[in-house]
Amino acid sequence: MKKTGFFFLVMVLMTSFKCEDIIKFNDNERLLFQGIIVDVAGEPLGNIPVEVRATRSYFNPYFPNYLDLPEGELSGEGVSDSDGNFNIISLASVNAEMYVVVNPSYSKDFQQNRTSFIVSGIDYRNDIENQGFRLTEEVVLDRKSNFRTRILRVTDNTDTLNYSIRFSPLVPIENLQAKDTLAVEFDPNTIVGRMLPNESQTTLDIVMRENDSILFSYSLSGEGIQRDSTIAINAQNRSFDFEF
Amino acid sequence: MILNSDKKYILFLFLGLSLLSIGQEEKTNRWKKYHYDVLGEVWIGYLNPQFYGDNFLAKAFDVGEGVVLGINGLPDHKWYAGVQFSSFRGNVSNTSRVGFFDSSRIQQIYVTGGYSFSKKESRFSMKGGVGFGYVDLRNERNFERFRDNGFTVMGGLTFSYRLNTFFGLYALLQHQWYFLDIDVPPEERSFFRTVTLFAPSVGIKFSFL
Repeated sequence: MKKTGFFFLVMVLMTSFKCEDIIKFNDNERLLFQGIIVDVAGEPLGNIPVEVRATRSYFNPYFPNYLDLPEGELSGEGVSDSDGNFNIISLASVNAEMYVVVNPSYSKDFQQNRTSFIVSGIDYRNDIENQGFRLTEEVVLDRKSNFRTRILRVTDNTDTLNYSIRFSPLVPIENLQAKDTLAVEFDPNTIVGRMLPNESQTTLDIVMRENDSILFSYSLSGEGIQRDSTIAINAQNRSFDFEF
Repeated sequence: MILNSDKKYILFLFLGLSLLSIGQEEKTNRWKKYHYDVLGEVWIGYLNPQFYGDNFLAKAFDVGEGVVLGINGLPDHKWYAGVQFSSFRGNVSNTSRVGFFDSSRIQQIYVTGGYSFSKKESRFSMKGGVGFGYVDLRNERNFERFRDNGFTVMGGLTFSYRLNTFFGLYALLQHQWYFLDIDVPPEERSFFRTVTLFAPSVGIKFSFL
């Protein structure tokens, strides 16, 4: 009998905790999210998918691949019109944070040649009378650029080369990690890699924003040197060869 | 229109009851009473709501057919009072206008009243009436539910034909207004708060003398 009671108590507690994690949407309430999407030249971008989501988990907007994951519960969706405007009605959550994802990579309307953007930290409850959230600044979506970095061993140097590539944008885009590199914990704008003595060439293919720049840093273990080099990324400059 | 199996059963039941009633009437010749004698009636029917205007149910939902049922009392044979309930479903067709969810079960309950314009010795009757009530939208997305609700008013005409003492047919033409209590930004308030629909219905009616 005691076992049955204990089991019942555990089940009740587990159910209670589970319910706490469920995102609840408010009765008789809707929110309006509005904004305008443009490119870097200020031209409006139409047919860009926009999602409003609600989440109860800790939300880190600087996590490198967060735009690849449909985090949270979708509560509103739409696309921008030909003037770049979006007007999306969303459900309102009583126990979750709301955020807006512009051009999410998992959307069926995803514009592959454009970057993505996220707006978090929305506190619509402070504007409860109007039930609306208007992005005060334009959402700028840059074009994506494929950037190739080649590291070539052209001398007799047999040291191990340690390198890092730091991206300048504060808001990363998807596919930030290149093959055979590692993201740096707490610094998602940086990837690091290593070229071993028996390797003569390494190629890194990276997708990043056009009109941006990266900081390439390296050190050779035997010589104890460390150097930095900043490379601008644009339509004309889409590759970088480093020789040592 | 292709009827689903439930509707087919209702149709067959309706036809069966009709034939049975007519047969009994012819066999026993018991048809004595006319509409003027009716003290109460229960009715159930098929509802085909038609939303129109610039509101979210008209612009962002595909609304299906439903069922309506009611009960009326006619203590003095002319004035009546009753209760009407109806239920139908709608699927969201434009999520950007209403929020991301799948469907709604829309239910209404009215307190109704009106006047019967029937002649004393006639199988036909016509009633005009109004109703005030409550409308509830149970919205569903996956396993989550939330609600929109408010009050509703309606006005309409009912045309009835009695096949025999107890059994008859009816056609109901109603116009309904929903006044929902949804908090939205000012520019969206009329879209979400005021809903208009035309609600025709046909069905069967049982009378009590």
